[in-house]
Amino acid sequence: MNSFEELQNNWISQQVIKELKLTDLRSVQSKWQKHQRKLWISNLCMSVCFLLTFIGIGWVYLAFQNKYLWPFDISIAGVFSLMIVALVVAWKSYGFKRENVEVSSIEYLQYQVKKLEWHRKTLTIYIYVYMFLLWLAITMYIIEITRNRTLLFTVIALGVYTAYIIVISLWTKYYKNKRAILAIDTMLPELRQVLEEMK
Amino acid sequence: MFDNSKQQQDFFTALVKENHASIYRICRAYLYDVSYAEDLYQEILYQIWKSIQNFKGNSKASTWIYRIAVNTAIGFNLKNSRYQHEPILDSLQMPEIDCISEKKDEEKQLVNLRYCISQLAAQDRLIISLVLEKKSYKEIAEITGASMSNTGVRINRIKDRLLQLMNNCKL
Repeated sequence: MNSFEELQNNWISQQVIKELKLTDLRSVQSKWQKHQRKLWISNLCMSVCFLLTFIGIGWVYLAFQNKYLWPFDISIAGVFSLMIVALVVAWKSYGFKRENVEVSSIEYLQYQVKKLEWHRKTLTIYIYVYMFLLWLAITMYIIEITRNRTLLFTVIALGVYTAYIIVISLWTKYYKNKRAILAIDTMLPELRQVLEEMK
Repeated sequence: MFDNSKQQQDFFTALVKENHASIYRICRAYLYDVSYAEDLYQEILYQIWKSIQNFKGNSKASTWIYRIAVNTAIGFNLKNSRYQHEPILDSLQMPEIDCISEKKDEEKQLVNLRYCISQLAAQDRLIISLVLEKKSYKEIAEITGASMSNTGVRINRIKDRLLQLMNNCKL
């Protein structure tokens, strides 16, 4: 019969070959938190600006609704919808499930990777789709409200607006989002590596 | 407790260095399959790291670590039902290892022990793993959050059951 002490000694003497694989986790998590803080502030500012814009557009719509035809309604509705979708897309990049770290780290790391991938897509693809669609909606709006003006006036208005959109797109691509994309590109491989090690 | 993150990192590394073998053995006792046990081991280390800033030093660091290990293991099993399975004795999956040397006998006994532990209830597996780590009743009660008297009674019952299983395994 085995004595319990014998079992204990046998148990403790078993070979344990494990290495600590979490040395990089601290730096990755600190980068993630910094990134999330920035994203929170940026999304909050965006939401406040959009709210003010909603109020402005709402006022324009109610004040001039009777003066213009259906392209006016469509363009205003288009801008409204685009802004709502843009807000949803922007907040989808933010990681609300912070407390889930305590439950399952592997799942949380997967969640972080998904959020970062989504944010990257937002910054590199969706934002330009949004700008193009916004350009279409506003173009329709400009054409409608300058219907009774000269063609030259309409063309100049469209030209100024198109130039504005192009400048904003270039500024976004080469300045505004450059740092954020770089931060994501640094974090993603590190997170994936930690995730791989934890699996 | 920590003035900076470097101190925190050093404390974590020292804690893990000191306790990693015990944590690993607890995982092996709790989850029979070695690959699942390794997943749990990583999970426990991660949880220790995440909670380290909350460590106030009110209890012994090792007690604090075991408490995290036990809670993580319980949550881990509940969350990952795929880890709950009918164990198959390791020796049935491996080439016959008995009669080669004394060392192999010890290995065989360890395989049997792991198998017998896997026959216990989940909570009992955790408690017996702490007993096997030579933790005192007081410490085990502190780690599991149970009373001393209950812990003592329960441990004795689990020990008897384990010894009985080991004897049956030998037959």
